[in-house]
Amino acid sequence: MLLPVPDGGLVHNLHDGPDAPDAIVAGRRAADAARRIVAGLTASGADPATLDEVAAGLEAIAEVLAPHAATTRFPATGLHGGVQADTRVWESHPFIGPGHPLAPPIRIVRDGDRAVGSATFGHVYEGPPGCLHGGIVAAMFDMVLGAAASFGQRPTLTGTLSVRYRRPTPLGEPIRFVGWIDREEERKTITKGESWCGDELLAESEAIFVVIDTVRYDAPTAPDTTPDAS
Amino acid sequence: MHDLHEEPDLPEAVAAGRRAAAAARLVVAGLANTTADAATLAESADALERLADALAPHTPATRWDRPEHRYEAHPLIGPSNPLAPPMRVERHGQEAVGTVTFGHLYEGPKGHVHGGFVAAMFDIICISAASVAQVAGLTGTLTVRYRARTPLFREIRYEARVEEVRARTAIVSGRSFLEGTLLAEAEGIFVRVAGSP
Repeated sequence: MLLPVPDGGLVHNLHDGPDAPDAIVAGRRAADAARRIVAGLTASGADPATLDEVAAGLEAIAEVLAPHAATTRFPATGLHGGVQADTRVWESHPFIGPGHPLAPPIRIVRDGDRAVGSATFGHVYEGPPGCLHGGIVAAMFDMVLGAAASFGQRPTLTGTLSVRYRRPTPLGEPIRFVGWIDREEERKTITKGESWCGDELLAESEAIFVVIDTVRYDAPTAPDTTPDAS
Repeated sequence: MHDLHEEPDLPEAVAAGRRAAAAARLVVAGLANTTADAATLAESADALERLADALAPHTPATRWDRPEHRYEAHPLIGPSNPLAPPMRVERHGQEAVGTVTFGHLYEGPKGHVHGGFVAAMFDIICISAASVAQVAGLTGTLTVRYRARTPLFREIRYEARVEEVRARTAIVSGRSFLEGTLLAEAEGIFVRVAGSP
């Protein structure tokens, strides 16, 4: 059973504000620096000698971090899915995780019956010149509409995701992704969403989420899809 | 099929960019799910901030300023963009075929790829197929149907082909597979725009 998210609060179970543990604060500072490095290496203007120096520095840091790195963001036991999962699950999320250097990260709050995701994207996510890659637009809708679907208090997975692109999404401007539940059926939660820059509509989306059995969801995957079976 | 250099025949600047991106991926992998204590992370953060400051003067606002960066720095297929897994895209006749192995940085459901990345990869593979039919441009609509979860650490194959070409648009279909098992399907409408590649 999912717990209701308070209005105005973060939808996912993430530390927010001054109460975050020291390791989370330090991890976020490291992730922020890594984001700047990723930006500095993408279409970099640095010469090969500078890039090699940076690479050597990064390799040394990676060596220190490697013994502490997990290859899943989920704990060995406990609740794997759902917005109330362990805080580490969301801290390390590829789109919303402040501790994950590849996450923009998008910040998703509850506003009444809507999930509202906010992010500003840099050139690391660039598709057409000066604009966000359409694939990343779709990914953000998957995330925000999934957050909206969680308000239905039933665990779900994405079944179908559709995006209609009205105009390109600019880089460097705050973008809002808004999602809500359109209707609920016995085994499906149907959501809709829009993305905006200021008062300009950028894209619309619809996603059908399939209600899942959490016991099955948390069970190990089929043997043929685990890494150690390959 | 995009204008990318193939190993081992890389110009020095490209080779250095890829080495640095590979090192950045190692750091990202070390940080994303880290269980390190605050002191270790603070020390890493200090070192990373120094490197970030060194790179700051060389950080562009766009990957489109120089032609050699156009695909090298692409967010999904660019070997020099640490965000990209990257996916390798080839032309096979009239089809675009992509191969990609996702690591834990792209995890959605436990042990599986986030659905957002599954969709993002369909966008680029469908655009690639549209470009085979000379209709490369912008995505108009994209619909993805998820049939089975896409596992991490396995080679995933994406295929796309143009179903229909109209005056300014192409309807493109795509599918993704794990060793012949269908994982997801997509359909999109792609629009040719003035001056698009």
